[in-house]
Amino acid sequence: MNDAALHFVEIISTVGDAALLEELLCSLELPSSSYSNLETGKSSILLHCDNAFAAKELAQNLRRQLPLWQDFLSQPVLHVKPIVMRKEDWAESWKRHFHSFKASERIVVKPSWESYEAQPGELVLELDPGMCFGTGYHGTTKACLRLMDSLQAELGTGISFLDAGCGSGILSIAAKILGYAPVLAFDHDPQAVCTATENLQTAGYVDVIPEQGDVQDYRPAQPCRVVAANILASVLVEHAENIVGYVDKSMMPGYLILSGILHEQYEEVKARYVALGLEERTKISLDEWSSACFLVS
Amino acid sequence: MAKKVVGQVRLQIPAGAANPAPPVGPSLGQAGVNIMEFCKQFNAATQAQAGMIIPVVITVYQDRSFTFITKSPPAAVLLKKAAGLASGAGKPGREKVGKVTRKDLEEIAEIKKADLGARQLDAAVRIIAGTARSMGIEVSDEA
Repeated sequence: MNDAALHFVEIISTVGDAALLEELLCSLELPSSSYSNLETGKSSILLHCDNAFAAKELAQNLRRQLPLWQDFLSQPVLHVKPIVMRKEDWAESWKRHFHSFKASERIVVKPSWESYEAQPGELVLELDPGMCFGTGYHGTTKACLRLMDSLQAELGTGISFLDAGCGSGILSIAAKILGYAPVLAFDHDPQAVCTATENLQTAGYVDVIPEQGDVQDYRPAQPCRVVAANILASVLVEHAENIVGYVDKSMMPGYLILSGILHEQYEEVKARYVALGLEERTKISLDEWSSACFLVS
Repeated sequence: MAKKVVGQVRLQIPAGAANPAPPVGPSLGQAGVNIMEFCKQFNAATQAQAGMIIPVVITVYQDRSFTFITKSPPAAVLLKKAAGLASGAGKPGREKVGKVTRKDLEEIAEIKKADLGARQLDAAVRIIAGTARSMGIEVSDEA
């Protein structure tokens, strides 16, 4: 027997039947795990076995059992077969999905376990993807990073920045790395506020203290010259006046970055802000998302 | 900002005892989820239910961040509890190991209805009855 191998029986079913199949397997005291790929509509249900012989025997038993369950299922299972997986350090295996990448002209997003030698002019944003913390790969985040990067290059350091709907705090960390100051942040979700606080502290930016607040009634400690609102199109439209109110108009122009907008929603969002006197300055389309920087004067 | 969901991982894990060994590690590792962080969050959320097997559904987003929700205990666990059993039949279909009532089935079906994707209680009862049969648990008509 190969010690570097793990033995399983794999059942492939439709996503809709997976939960029920797992319940039925549990009734035979066969604990399982599954991965449902929502893009293919198929679920892979795995049953761990001690060895190849046990996997073969279990697969045979299940082929006899499954027809008895067919009444409960919407479609016949696609296959049942023993499979072998290479044993590895599972605590580390997920990391192979992540590598350093250039998110904007100067910002390189780097997972904490990878080494990266910054080229002249590059700024490295280190993070650990996790529960709430994405990787910066998302089109809306990447667009915000690009707009923030080019604005800072133009305006210089010491420009006030507000991260409206900060989530994990990735934009606040980027703002600090780029030299914006002061950096303010808020989110309506208390869990996001906790996560952002933790991530900012880990990054060493203890002076940024995210606050909990709703877009409709949040009042920042001070208006900011650059505001990024990476939220949802419906929220951006509904609370446009308040969001524009976050921008510091004393040093005209102010800049409002709007993101989290699907392409088909963009014209409605733009019309709402243009009606309030803003002017579209730069628009970025990434994947299915539109993001833009507006001038507030 | 709406993040795109790419997949869901379903696991049954003892409360407060998730670790990177199979089945947790292989399932989450292949989905690109930070395994240690999931284990830490799951154990914190379920430590009060020690001794129970908790089904959990982990939603994986395109950027490999994740959220998870815990579900009701498996029907088999609830059936064994209702029948006062330590385990199901060694030879399902040929051996009767216990008995539950129709009312027991309805109570379990009510708990499990949403998780099983059953729109009607009757459909959930039918599934729970089938689960009981496959475990060697007899269903009596008494209330």
